[in-house]
Amino acid sequence: MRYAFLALLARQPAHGYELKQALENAFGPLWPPLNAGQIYTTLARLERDGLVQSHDVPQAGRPGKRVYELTPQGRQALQVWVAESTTGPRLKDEFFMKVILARLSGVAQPPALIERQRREYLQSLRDLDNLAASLPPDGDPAAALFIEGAILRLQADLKWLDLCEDRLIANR
Amino acid sequence: MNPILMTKSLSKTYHPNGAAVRALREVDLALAPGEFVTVMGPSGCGKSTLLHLSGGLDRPTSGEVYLNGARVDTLSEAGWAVLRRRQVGFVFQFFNLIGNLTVADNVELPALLAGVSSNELRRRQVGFVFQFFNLIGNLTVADNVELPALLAGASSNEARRRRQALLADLSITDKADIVPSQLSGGEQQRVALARALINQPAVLLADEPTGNLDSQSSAEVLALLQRMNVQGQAILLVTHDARVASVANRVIYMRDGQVKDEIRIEKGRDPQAVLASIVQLEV
Repeated sequence: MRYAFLALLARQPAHGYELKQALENAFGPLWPPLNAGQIYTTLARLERDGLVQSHDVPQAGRPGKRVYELTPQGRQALQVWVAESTTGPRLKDEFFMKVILARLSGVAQPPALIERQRREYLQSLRDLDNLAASLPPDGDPAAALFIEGAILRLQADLKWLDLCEDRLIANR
Repeated sequence: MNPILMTKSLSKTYHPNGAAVRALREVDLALAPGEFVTVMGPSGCGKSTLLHLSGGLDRPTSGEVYLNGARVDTLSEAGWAVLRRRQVGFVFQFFNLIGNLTVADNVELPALLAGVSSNELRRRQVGFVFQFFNLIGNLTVADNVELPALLAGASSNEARRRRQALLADLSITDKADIVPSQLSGGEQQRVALARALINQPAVLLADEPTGNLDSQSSAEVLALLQRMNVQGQAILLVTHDARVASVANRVIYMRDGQVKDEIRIEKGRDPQAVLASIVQLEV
């Protein structure tokens, strides 16, 4: 969330609630729900690290708003993060562990595991297809692209199950 | 409920280079009225063979095929021709292969459209399965769609009425008077779909109907198939694409000529939770 806030503040100064709304607009249903506590904790840490600074703006008849803006160090940190190529594992696959360990230990039959996983992936494909179809066609493309990415991964996972079946299971 | 399409222990062995290839091994399949079933599996798993045998495009080595309760694998080619006009609609991946028509069929088509009576057609046994040939390049969209109705004996008024309703349903009314080559791939497949449905077939057989389309057209054709199914059309669709397969109520997974699994697709899971289980934003 740190870099998301830095990026939003790179556009213009904002208070906490505006940041929450901007995130929800940008990522649609993809971002997990944010509560006020998370937002202000993150902002406090960014301020402690010198990446943002804040000041109170008085409001007539109401408590003042705390408005945050990016510091030069904050802008630099954002640019370094954005420019870095994204490396490291992007898939966590517990299923692979299960198949290999089942094969090793005999605690379960790999063909049954693969079959169950194929059912799960197919059902997930349908669910995500429904989710994609439920998005407004003229809405922001971010959510649709994210869902398409997940669907492509599922399609790859299904092909990979066929490979597991071919190579791990003798005399299928 | 009695199945609209059923196979019993259906097998097919080819001998492409002398050696026997068992394309299909004792497959039992039942498609209930109004059901949408997809057959999925890697290439060579036998799914297209299953579809072809189900529609009489090929003959089984052994086993039985029933359409609306009647055994059909024993029918003569002429018997199948009559049945296909009425009971089976086909949609294929390649919708524009005029090369599939014989020279005689190409020459006779305009004459057929010009008003030869349906009895005369049947007597001559002309163009026995136009319905599953693909769009005919020198005919308009309207004529392509009406052709199977005329061949099945509908009056020209009735054929026009059904054609207009289908083109409206598929949102291609404005394309009625142009030839297929002026249409996009997705539009051509919609015409092929209209043509396959014009005789209100008992079952629609679809072989990779989105295999030749871009993702947008593919989604549109799938949405149309789903809508036809909601209106009661029974559909059997084969595909190697899991995403296409997942639009059905039931997915049959094939491998090595055999049915390995049958998967019922449920409604009502929380898609947000599913999404989060596959990929998460990381910042």
